[in-house]
Amino acid sequence: MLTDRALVGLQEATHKGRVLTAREDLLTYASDATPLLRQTPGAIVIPKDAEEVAAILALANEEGFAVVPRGAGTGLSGGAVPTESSVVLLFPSWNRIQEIDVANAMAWVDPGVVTADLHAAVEAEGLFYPPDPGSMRVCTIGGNVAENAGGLRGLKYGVTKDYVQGLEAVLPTGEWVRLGGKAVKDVAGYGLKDLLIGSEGTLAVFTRVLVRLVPKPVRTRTLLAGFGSLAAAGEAVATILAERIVPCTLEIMDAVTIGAVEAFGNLGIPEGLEALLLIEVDGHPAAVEDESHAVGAICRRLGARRVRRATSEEEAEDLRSARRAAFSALARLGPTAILEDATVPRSAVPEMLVRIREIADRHGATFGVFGHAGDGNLHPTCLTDVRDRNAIARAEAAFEEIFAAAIALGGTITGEHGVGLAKRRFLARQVGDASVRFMRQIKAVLDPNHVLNPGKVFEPGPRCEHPPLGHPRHAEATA
Amino acid sequence: MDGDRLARCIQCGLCLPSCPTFALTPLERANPRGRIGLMRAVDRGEMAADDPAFAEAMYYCVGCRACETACPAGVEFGLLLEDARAVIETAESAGRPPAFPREILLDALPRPGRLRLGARLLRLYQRTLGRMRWWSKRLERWRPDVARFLSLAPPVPPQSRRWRIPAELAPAAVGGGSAPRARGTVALHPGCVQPILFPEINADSAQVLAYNRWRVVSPEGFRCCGALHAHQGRREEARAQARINVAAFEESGADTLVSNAAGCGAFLEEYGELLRDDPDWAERAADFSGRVVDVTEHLVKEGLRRPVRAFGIRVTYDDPCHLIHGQRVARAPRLVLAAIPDLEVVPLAESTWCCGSAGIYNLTHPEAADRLSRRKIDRIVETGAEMVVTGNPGCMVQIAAGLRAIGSPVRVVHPMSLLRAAYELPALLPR
Repeated sequence: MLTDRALVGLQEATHKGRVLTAREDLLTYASDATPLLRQTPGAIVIPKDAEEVAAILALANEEGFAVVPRGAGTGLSGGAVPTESSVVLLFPSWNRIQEIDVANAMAWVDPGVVTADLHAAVEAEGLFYPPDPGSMRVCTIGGNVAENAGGLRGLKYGVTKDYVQGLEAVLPTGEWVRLGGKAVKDVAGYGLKDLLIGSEGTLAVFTRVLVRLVPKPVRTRTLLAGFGSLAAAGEAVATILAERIVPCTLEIMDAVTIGAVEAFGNLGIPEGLEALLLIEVDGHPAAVEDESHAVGAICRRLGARRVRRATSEEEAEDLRSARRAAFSALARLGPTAILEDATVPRSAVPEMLVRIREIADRHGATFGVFGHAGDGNLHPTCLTDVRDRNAIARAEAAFEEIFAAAIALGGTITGEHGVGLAKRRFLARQVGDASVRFMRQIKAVLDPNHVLNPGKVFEPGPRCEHPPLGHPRHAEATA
Repeated sequence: MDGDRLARCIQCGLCLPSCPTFALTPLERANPRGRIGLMRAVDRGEMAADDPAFAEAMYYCVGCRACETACPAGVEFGLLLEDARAVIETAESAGRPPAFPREILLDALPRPGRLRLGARLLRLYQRTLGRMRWWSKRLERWRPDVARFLSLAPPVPPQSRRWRIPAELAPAAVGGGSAPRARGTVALHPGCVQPILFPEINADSAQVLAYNRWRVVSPEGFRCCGALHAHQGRREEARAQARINVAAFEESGADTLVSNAAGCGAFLEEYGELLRDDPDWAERAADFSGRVVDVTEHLVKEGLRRPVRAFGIRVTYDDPCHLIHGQRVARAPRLVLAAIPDLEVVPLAESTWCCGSAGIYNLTHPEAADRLSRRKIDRIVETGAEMVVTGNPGCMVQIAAGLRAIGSPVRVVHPMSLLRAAYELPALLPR
């Protein structure tokens, strides 16, 4: 429980905002989009401005409660799952696009702006904000920056950190800082902005974000190619890139996913396919025409059973729908779908796909795999049932081996979802103890009392920085 | 609550932008994901079923099912909401909507005699006391709930026999002439409030079906579908209505049950699920549900006779939630409008968004319903249309009331009324 003093202090610190402690509010902010993780907080606070955020964090240090910032709650690593008696910060009214600076191709936005709303606003000016996470119609820029969100366009355009030009943030101690700015080149002092991007809500609460924009591509061409073997599809990916074509989208779906998509959407995908590639090239119209024909030729040369090249936007949307429906279709197969984001160097994608299949079979778990073949970011998705303890245990065991395989192939346990709570026990295996120590030291300097989103990213330390959560997934499964 | 159904939500939040109440109150308890979170909390015993906050959260939902359209995981939110409200009803929670007008309506809807009596009294009131300003003001202070109920009601037409649809209507040629051969027999479900408030809709629907060479039957035995009862947690009462309707349809000898009211149609399609555990009725109800079709869908699927009369007006179409989200019918009504010569159909922004009618939501939650209504009316006015076409009596009442409130001349019309007029004469346009 939060102390009465803390609650009174919160009321005083947020006289323009709101403090909610009703049971129905605490229960509904107990989880984000991560399966199996749940913890009711002590209070929900809706601050009105940066000053109130600063006052709340200052109070947290005095009264010793934890603060958990939350965007739209679409995260898949448990980053916004509260700790016990913590205060969850919401930003629903922080949703203004404050300035679109066309001359500098930049925009100042509130952290609560929905990513797709930013897309629409800047595209109306002929500009383009490339990061497009799967939840872009729901998720917010603040959450995107905190998790360094990716998306389908990562291969050509990069991820959120490549488009954050400046930040205004409140540090865990309650100090307000502005980092970066509109100068494209800026090497004054340490690159603190980049330290805060992807810090998963553990180092700062963002109060305003300056994003960099690029010209909107004039033309896009979309192709869908079906292969009889995973190896052939993998070779097609490698060949396209080797021929110096950089598609903006290069997505792969495995046989399980294809089957699910076809069963759910009836999109007319031929039977017996082992892999499907969705490829999009964008840019200057002439270049796009050349490249799309070249991509089609490569796929056919490497044995694609069927290559469809869209000639209209409607047709393109049709082709994209197969990939868009991937997660939906898989999610409909099982009561619970656990979506992970093990990522490998792109050359290792075919090998990784084979290993995931082998691991899943060995553990008797049902997995569909799809993802961003071009940048190696795969989404092994386990179809299971939260109410079945054995099935969950098998899924956990399979994921542990999948992460190990990704690390062994030179990859990472997370390409775009973040470590959060769900993967913190794998972090040291990937980055090593020295790196984890380095990260902990940074956390300790910026947040000496461990008030901001404690327990995320790292396992609780030896002195038990904050409420030990154990392995919440297991705890939940037994609940 | 049904555990399997409750387990389907993966909390991804993709439904959030589709939720009308979340747009009004940006808190999780006002969106589908949060509501499912509360249902799960009750299911686990972390929240009491009779906790007033649970009932308030469940009844703040309009039940539009837009979240089902948005949901990647196939969560049947409409059924979950019914489950939750049934639990709330059993627990006799103090957080349920007030008894007036809920109990009176739930009681009267299945009883045509009482409904007609109520309509006569309402008409009498509208033509006498209801016209007097001093009375309205006094009533507003004295019983705001009653005042609201009375102000939302559209002018009640006289309950004459003229609008009664015949028990059987033979196929007819447009403009007279020898009757064509029937393509089959369809039963038309008249609804409960619709024949009283909008009697012309059933007459127009039956005539349109006859012009399309269908033999139309409308057995006396049809009663209120029970949707409102189920949506208010009274499943047993809904089941009783369902059995009456299934039996009446079986006796009619028709192959297809045509509905022209989106809310009723969506619920008639749910009978199979509603009577799933009733051994005597499960199979019959499932067969019944499989034969229910919206009138626009039926006409388009079976081939629509193209009207020849030109209209020369601008209309817009608003999707009733239980047609687009409940029955997934979006194209058919638009194709019906497109078939009418010279009718300019302009798209309505946010046409898939609830107008706030939502059964009796506009009576139980006046403030939220009014905000949704204003949003809908703004979009309608923006189109510059002279008429807004929509196929559900609740939406028609709500939108007409919203338009009346701003003194707008835009009229609300059922697609069948427009289509009948297009078959006959422009002079026969509905009120």
